[in-house]
Amino acid sequence: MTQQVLIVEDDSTIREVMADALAEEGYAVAQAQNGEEALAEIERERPALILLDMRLPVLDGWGFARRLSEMGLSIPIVIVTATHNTETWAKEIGAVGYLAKPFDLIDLLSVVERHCRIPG
Amino acid sequence: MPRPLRALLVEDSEDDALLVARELRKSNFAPETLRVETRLAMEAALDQRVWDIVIADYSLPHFSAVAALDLLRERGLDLPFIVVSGAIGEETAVAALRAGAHDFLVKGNWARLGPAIERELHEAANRRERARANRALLFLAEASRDLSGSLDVETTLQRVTRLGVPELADLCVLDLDDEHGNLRRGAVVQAVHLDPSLARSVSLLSAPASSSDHPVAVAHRTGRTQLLADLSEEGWFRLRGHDQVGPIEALKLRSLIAVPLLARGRVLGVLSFARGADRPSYDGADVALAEELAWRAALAIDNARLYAAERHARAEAEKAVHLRDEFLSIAAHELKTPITSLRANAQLMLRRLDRGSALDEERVIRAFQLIDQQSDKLAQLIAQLLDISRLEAGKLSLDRRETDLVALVEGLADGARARTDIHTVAVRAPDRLTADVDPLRLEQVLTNLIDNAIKYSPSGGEIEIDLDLAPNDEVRIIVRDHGIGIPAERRAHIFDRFYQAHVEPALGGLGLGLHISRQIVELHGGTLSAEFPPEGGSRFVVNLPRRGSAEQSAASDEDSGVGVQDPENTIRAGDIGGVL
Repeated sequence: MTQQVLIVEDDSTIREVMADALAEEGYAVAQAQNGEEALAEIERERPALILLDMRLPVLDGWGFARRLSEMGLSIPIVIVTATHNTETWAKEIGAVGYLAKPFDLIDLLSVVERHCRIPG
Repeated sequence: MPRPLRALLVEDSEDDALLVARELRKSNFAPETLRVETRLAMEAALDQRVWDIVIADYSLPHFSAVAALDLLRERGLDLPFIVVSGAIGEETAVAALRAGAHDFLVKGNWARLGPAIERELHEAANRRERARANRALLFLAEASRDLSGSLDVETTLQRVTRLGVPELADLCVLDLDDEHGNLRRGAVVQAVHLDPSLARSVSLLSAPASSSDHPVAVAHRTGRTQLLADLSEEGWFRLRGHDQVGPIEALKLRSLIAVPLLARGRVLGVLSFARGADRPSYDGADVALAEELAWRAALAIDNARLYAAERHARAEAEKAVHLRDEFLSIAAHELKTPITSLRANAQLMLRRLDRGSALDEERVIRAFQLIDQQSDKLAQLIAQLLDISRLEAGKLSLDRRETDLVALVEGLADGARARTDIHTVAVRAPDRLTADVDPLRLEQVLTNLIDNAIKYSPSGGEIEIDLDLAPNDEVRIIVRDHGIGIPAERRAHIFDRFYQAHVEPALGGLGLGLHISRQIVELHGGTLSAEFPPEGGSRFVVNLPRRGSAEQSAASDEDSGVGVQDPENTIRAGDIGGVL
């Protein structure tokens, strides 16, 4: 079965290029514009990894992470955000990793690879 | 000429009293005497008036010199005291001196009386001066301690005024310089025995006009102490016509000192002291004491003000730094978003080429479109940053020319229609309307308003642009949307620098658009205001004079519309300029 990666990102250009790159590497990709949409995606199919922007409309990264733990779900999260304190934010929500924007595509692919076993 | 002498005689013999009076006249005094022979009578005499000397028989049937000395001590009175006695033994003399008498003589030896009184009057005057100097020192030490106790301006002003009463004055008034060099009544303190309503009326009076000849005004103007020792007929005449006269007359004040408060070469105000008719008139020693007190008061007020100014400046600086940090963080985030998208796309294309996979035409077109859009977004952000930097430095200038506003608005409406499928853009305008404006800057303002209208009506709808000429030859441009509007609690801040009406980052941006737009409109001599109709959405109104005046300064912060104020925007050029 293909490992699914969920991208939670409000900027459509960034979200789409991330999705294209991961799809071309063989991952199944789901997309959400904010925390609420992400929770709905997870209801539909549980991803192996969540790539999470923190500054989001409706429900931001912190709110999303809290809701996730309230639901008793433990899905690894890598935060992808443009701030000088990415590491602090990652710790705050218990993320397994972080990527600072603007990121290198190669770093995106390697962090995803580290947290998802690529099928056969 | 004989010198007046108020002599209290403690004596049971009327004859002896007459004898003493005669001897005093012989010694060139003009005596005013009163004979008492009991403690009660002496108490009454002390209550009645001030005495220069007491001349006492050693022993009386119902009183004595020693008992009289006790009474003076109880009263805290230091009066020259001479014992005159018939038969005086050595023991008696020693006892009298021990009890506090200053001299003694035997009745009949009158030649000694005159010189003894002269000497004792002189000694008593010396003792009084020393006591007064000591009191003044203690008073000033106390004043210094009290004034150094607080750095709060109001507390210091109250303390300064309170210090003068009752030691130096029955009424103490503090008038302070305002920023225009006029005096303003600061504080009034009065002695407890005065009618409180009178002092209250003094505190409600305005300070004397700075150009008047009122002693307070003169002290303020010249920086020199003014003394009106005795408000005699002449003094009252001088004060007549000033508001202060009524209460001063009513308070039966006799004497007045007005001392300028000087600190660092500047007159901060005037401290005035006034004394009632039941106390001695002010003299040179009182002036010296008042000046010492005023000097300490001025220093304390100056310190308190410096401290307050320093604290205010620090708070402002901290606020400015905080605002700048917040702005930098937002600016960095906004700039990083298009850069992230550009880099990721470029790297993805390279990766595809690397892998030798075919680049289909559709993908290439999409990539270039994205590069075009995202680089345009970056250019706009940078233009905004440059604009705000120029505005802060006062270096944004207009390039005015006769402009066809109808064509300009129609062109912007066409551009807006091309950017959205879910909004309709309607323009209502006359056939032709020209104005003397900077077309590029006005276009920037209207683009900002139209983009906001689109952005804040995310589910689509009609956007109306009205252009017309108001009767006062002002051009009016209205951009109206029917979108989500602006939450009531945020409306007051939408024109603030770095302010975003919506915290949701999806609707983000630098939060500079409206701030820059308003500044541009104001540079044109016009106004930009926002209205929020009850049926929803927003209505932004630009008013522009059709003809720009030669020298159009940055317009005032007068607000029309929602009465938007700009309290945060107090930092000026340089605060931000350095980092942009």
